[in-house]
Amino acid sequence: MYASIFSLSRTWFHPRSVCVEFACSPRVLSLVFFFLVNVFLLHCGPRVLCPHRVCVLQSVDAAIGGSTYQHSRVNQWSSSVVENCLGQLTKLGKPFKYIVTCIIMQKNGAGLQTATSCFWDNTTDGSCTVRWENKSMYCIVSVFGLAI
Amino acid sequence: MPGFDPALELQRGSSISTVSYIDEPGQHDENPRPAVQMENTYQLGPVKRFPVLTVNNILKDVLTSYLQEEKYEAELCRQMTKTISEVIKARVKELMIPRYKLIVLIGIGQLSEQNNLRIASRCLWDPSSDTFASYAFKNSSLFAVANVYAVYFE
Repeated sequence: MYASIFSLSRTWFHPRSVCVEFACSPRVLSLVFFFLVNVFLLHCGPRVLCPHRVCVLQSVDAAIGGSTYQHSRVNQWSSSVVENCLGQLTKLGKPFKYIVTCIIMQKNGAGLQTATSCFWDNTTDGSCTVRWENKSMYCIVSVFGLAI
Repeated sequence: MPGFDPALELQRGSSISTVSYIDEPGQHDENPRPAVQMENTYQLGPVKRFPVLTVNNILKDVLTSYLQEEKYEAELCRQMTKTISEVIKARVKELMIPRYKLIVLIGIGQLSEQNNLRIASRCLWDPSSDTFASYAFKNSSLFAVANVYAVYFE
């Protein structure tokens, strides 16, 4: 288990100085924490990590934060959520092409199922999906990042 | 392969949302390949462009054949979304359009008198080579939306 954590950290987690520190002083608690952090990062997708999720949450809160569902304003809301997200992702300055999709649905008791299937390079591309809700509506935002 | 959180159930107030996978995102990365240095192709653009109309027809065929007679049920539609997205991806891959990466997005929802839903997307890409295809299907108890995004790998 010790060897596998070290190889995991070399693949995904920089800087290297952190890896060496944990390798030289094996304390159980720090190893477990390190492993958990890596698992969390891995599950977000190889290259699309937490900063993208934060961007999306901020954009959604800014656009529709305290609002109640209104049919006449949904067009404008979905456009602003998506444009804000894209603007913030661009500011991160990473070499990715982005696709941002937003679904806004009124809370009515009706059900919705969504699925995505992707044909890309696993080592460089990834995605992130955020589910947000308030009392009157749901908002599901998916971000796909494809490396250039 | 969706890059979601690990499969978990959220219960917030009166709504429940669940996430499930066909392939777990981390599985293929156990033996990571070393980064491959690609040679220069000297191509300025795609040799074969993405056939949007053909793919629209594929979407229409698949959605109609799978969903024409179905009624909305949560468990059935969950499986159906996953199956349909895999089927559409396989059929578009059969077209063998080189150097294009694909993203297939499917949504199946319940039709009710008051159901209001808006799906929007924006893309940051190169419009001369990247494109998308879309189709919306409806029957008496459900609606389905399929989007395929094709991004050229330069």
